[in-house]
Parts: sequence; C-alpha cells; structure tokens
Amino acid sequence: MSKSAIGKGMLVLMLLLVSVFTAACGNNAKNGNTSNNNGKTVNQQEETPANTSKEKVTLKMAMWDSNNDFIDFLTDKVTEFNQVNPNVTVELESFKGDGDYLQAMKVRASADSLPDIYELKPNWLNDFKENLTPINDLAVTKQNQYAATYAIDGNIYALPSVSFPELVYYNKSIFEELNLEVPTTWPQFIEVLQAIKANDKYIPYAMGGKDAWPNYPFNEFLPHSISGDENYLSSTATEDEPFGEGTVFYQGYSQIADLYNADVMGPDPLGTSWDQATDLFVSKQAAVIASGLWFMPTYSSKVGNTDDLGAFPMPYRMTESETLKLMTFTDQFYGINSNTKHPEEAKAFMEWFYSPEVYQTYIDTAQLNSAFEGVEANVPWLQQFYESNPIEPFVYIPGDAEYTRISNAIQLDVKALGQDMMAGKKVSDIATELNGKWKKAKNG
Amino acid sequence: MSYTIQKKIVIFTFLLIPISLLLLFLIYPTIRLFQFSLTDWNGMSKSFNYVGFDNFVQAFQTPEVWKALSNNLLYFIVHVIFIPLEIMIAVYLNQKLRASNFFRTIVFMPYIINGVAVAYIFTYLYNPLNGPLNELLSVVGLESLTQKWLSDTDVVNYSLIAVSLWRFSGFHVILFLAGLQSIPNDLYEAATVDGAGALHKFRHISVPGIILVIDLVLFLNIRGALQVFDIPFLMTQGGPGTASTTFTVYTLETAFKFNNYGLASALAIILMVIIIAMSIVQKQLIKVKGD
Repeated sequence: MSKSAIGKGMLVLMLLLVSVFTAACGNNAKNGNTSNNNGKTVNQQEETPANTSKEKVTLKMAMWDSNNDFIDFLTDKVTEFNQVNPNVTVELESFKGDGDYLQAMKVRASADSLPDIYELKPNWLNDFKENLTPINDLAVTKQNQYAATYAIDGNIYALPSVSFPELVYYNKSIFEELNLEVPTTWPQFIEVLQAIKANDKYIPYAMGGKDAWPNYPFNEFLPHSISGDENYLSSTATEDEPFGEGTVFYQGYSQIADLYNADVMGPDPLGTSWDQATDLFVSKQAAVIASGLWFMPTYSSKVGNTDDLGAFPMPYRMTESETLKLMTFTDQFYGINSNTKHPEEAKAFMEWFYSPEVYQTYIDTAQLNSAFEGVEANVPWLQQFYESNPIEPFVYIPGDAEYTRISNAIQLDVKALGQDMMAGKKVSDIATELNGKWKKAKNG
Repeated sequence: MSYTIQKKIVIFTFLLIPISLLLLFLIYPTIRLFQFSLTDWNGMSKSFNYVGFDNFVQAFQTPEVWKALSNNLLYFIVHVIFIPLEIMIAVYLNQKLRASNFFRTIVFMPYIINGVAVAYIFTYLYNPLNGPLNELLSVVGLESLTQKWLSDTDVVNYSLIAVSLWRFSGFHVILFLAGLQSIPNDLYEAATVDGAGALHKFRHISVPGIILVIDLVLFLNIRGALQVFDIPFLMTQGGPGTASTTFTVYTLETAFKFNNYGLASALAIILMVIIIAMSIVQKQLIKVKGD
C-alpha cells in the first residue's frame, strides 16, 4: 500500500467518523420518546425562544387501558385542551396493559424522564410519591370524593377518576333453570355453586387461574373485607405475625380454601386463562364469574345486550347477622410529575380535565362510577343494581409505605398464593411460611 | 506524517469505535451492576444506601432462589440426557440418505421460529379446554395419559422442558452434523480395512472428531439452561404459584414487581459466576476425556 493511499483512506475514515459522531449527537439532542405504543410518531414541538409573550408548551400524558375504544376517546379528548389554552398541546401515550405500563414508568422514573401527567393505580402511589407533585391546592381536588382517603403524610399526590363496585356476575337463565337463589353468605355461595355442579350441565364458576390475577376477588379482597377495616393492610404492617391461626388472614384464607376445595371451577381452573374463562361465561357454559364493573363493556360487546346478566355483591360474610359489604375500588388516578418543566400548565390541564363537562364525557365513556361530587355517571344498569342492592360500600385502601416495604421484601404475591392453594397447598403451611418471613423482614 | 505514525492512527481510529461501543454497552453497565448489587436501590428513587454484601447473603438464604435454580438444573439434566440422541440423529443425517437435505431443514426449523411464537403454539397444544394434545390422547384410547400439562405442579416443568427440547435439539443436531462432516473420510475407510464395526468407528473416530462441538454444545446447554426465560415466562409466568419459576424469571420479578434492584443485581452476578464456574469445570472434564 502506498503512503498516499493510506492518506486518502485516513481522510475517508475521518470523515466517516465525524459523520457518525455528529449523527449520534444529533440523536441525543432530540428528546427521546419519539414514538408511542400505537406506533404513531409524536411530533416534537420546538420550544420557541422567549421573544413571544407566551411560549408554546407540549405536555406529555401517559395512561393504559385494555379497551381500545377508550384509548381512542381519550387521545382525542386531551387535544381539546388546545382550544382552551392555545399555547399548550397535550399528547397522550397509551399502553394496553398495566404490567407493561408500570415497568415502562419505573424505568423512566429512574431516568428522570416521566411524562408530565401520568396514570397510577392506588397501590402504586407509595412507590411513585417522590415523582409526584402534591396537588392539595387544586380546586378539583376538593371536589374529589376519594382523594383525601389516599393522601400520604397529609399530601394528595393523585386524583382517582373512577370508582366501581366489585361484583359477582351470573347468567340469570341458568339460575332460573336450576331454581337457584342469589346467595348472601359465603356458605350459601358455595352451596349454589355445588348445586350447579351436581346438575352437571354447566361449569359453576369460571376461574381464569392460569393468569393468577383473576383470583383477586378472593385472595386479595376477602381477608380485607371480613376484617371490616378499610385500612386493614396498613394495620398488618404493625404486627409481627399477622397470618397465623386466629387472625383475619387465616380465617379468610380458610374460607377461600373451602371454595377451592369444593372443586366448583371446572376441570382445570389453573390451566384456564382469563380470556377463556370470560368466553365460558359469555357463551353460557359457565354460570358465575367475579370481577369489577370494568367487565361490563367486554360482556356487552360480546353478547350485544345485558338482558341475561345478573349481579350481586360477593357475599364474604359467614352469617346473615353480619353486614353485607360491597367492595368498592377506586382507580385511574392521575398525578403530575414532580420534575415537570411546566407545573403551571400541568395544573391548569388537571383543572380542565376534571371540570364537570369534560369529566362527564370521561365517565360516560368509561361506563364507571363518578369519583367527583356533582357529577353522576349515566350507567342505567349500575343505577338499577344500586337500587336493588342498598349496601354500604367498603373502599379498598392499599397498604402504607411500611406495608409496601415488608411485602416487597418478602415478595408477597397473594395471587400466586391463590394459585398455590388451587394446586393443593394448605393454608396452615402458607401462614407459617409467611409469618416467618414477615417477622424477619419487619424487624430486620 | 511518517508512515508509522499514519499506520498507528489508522489502527487507533479503526479500534476506537468497537472499543468505545464495548465500553459503553458492556463494561460500564457491568460496573454499574456490581455497584447496584451492593445497594438497597429500589429501581426508582433518587437515592440508595450501600448495604455491603447483604444482598448476596439474602440471595443464598432465600428458599425460592434455590427452588428456581433446581428448576434450571432440571432443564440442564434433561438436555444433557438428550445429547447422545442428538449425535445419533446427526450421524444418520450424515449418511447418504434419500432427501437428507429435506430432513436437515426440518430438524433445524424449530430453532428458527421466534420464541414467542413457539410459546404460543405450545400453550395452545397443552390447552386444557379442547387442547389438541389431550384430545389426541383421548382419540387413540390413551385417556389415562391426559395431563393438566401446565397446571399440575409436578408436570409443568417437564411440559416446558419438552418445548425447550423441541426448540433447541435441532440446532444441536446441525452443529454435530457440521462437526461430523469435517472428519476426513479416509479415517473411516482405514478403519473399515482394519475391520472395525460401525460402533467402533463411532466410538473411536466420530466422537473424538467432534469433541470440540460437544464441548460447545455443553457450554451452550449450561448457559441456556441457567438463563432459560422466555418459555416459562410466556407460557406460565412462572406459575402455578412459583412451580415453574426459573432463576431469570425470579430475578426479573425481584427487580420489576417487588422493586428490589439491589437484590436483582446480586442475583445477576451470581448467575454470571455460576456460568463461568460450571464452564471451567466442564472444560477440565472434556480435557481429561479428550487427551
């Protein structure tokens, strides 16, 4: 190789290197997050220098929903804020499932790149409180019926958008065919399911045990409900051994074991996914299924109407002398990122988002109950349910920071425990194991 | 510029990009991993405390970690048992079979298919509601053999290992085949002249000839069995309960579900150490056999 050839080669290489590095730097200069889950490219709004009186601002908002129609509704809705406040554009990033969403948000939290406004579940508030701005002073906060319940150390970090009851759904025609009454106590509930099993025509209860989470009406909610204490989870964090014999947990899990051991969930509840379970219920191969009100749109879209759909509160109580409670869940919390560059605009957006006329369209589309005073949801089926079931609501409140700390340390996953129970694990063994780990983690 | 300096600059610039990429994407994250393994970082908060080797101590004292590792061990053992069979198949494919090319393609096919697709195919096959596998067993009168493939805690791991075998055995066969084809034919001819039988040829020519490939497959097996993730994660999420949780599934849940980045980092380092240690042991064994 001649010297000049090497020289030329070097020149070319240098040019290449320079171009590679400038390209790389150019990419870094753009803010990340350029595409959302739907594959739409988000147009980057260049911030104009402050020679205009008001600069143009883009707010990023993130949420998840399993229902595509609702995502489409909200994506369009947030753009309307631009008409109220021409300098602010709101862009929505959506996810299909809370698992993916949570993982993405955790990664972004560690990299300080959370969206300006983002959705949360009540049991995530403790984890994200460092990344949320207190919003006690917003006007809409005072209108929210549940926000204060979820305050942490006196600060409200996010506003719940909806509340809904947790229900047991049943096919009315099957109950009529077999002459069954709606059960109001736990033993009655198991009896009804056994009667359906004895008839041998239908699967009594459709359990999507393969996915673990569908057992939450039992493994997550039952001990909480029979404790009678909305703050039950936080109070377990003050005890050394909250799982042993004689505790609420033990009583609750023994009740669950009675149900699982009655073998009323079809041939293989642990092998059946939630989608398969809902298909069994919708196609009337199964008689009963339990879930939150959010199951309604799924049912209506598959069946076309709700004529044959009945519902009753899950009868956690053992006897009729105890009060029957209706587990009520608040969800779809929205909070403001503590590191947002546009706190004033984000707060203005929240005020607009939860103003009565905008919020009304939100809950009417979600088909769930209102979380704000002065706004009522137009869900006829639900209003009918409340009229025929005048029951006191029991609000699910997640555990406090200490509870979160201990349960993370021992990797407590009650839904996995439910799977273990369906596979035959004894309550006494579960309780002994949990007590040992809990005590060590609490005092360790 | 003198020629030597120019040469040095060329070499330097050529190496700059790969080395800087290596530093950025491999060395730096590994150093950070070691750092996190000594902390109680939850993966989100802006601060963390150094806790020394507590995470490592905790990892060894957690029964679930050992349970997960024993599941990994099961993958390893079953795959090792199948290696002789894979060599046999390779030997057959190496002969002048009619349509041997077609068979080679078929054998290699499962390895090409995307892991997620494989998981979904087998989830469907194992399905308890009208699943093809149980239906087939019923049709041919083997009703007694139908299983709750993915929901019986005693069966689930074997169901998943079967998927893993189906997916990777073909790849191993192709590797062995490549090894066999590199053995000169005159060795076999000489052995035939000396009156060696097929078994003798296999024992004294084929196996020593592909010992390096066997070594490679064993290494891939150790690495694969310890890092098996997609099949259990997609098909059972490590369930029912924690029955089919493997080491990597457990690590991932520790980091993202239970917010314990420190412990998860320690687990990742332990995994790295186990793989290195097992590879060294295996190298020694092969050496003893090979020499």
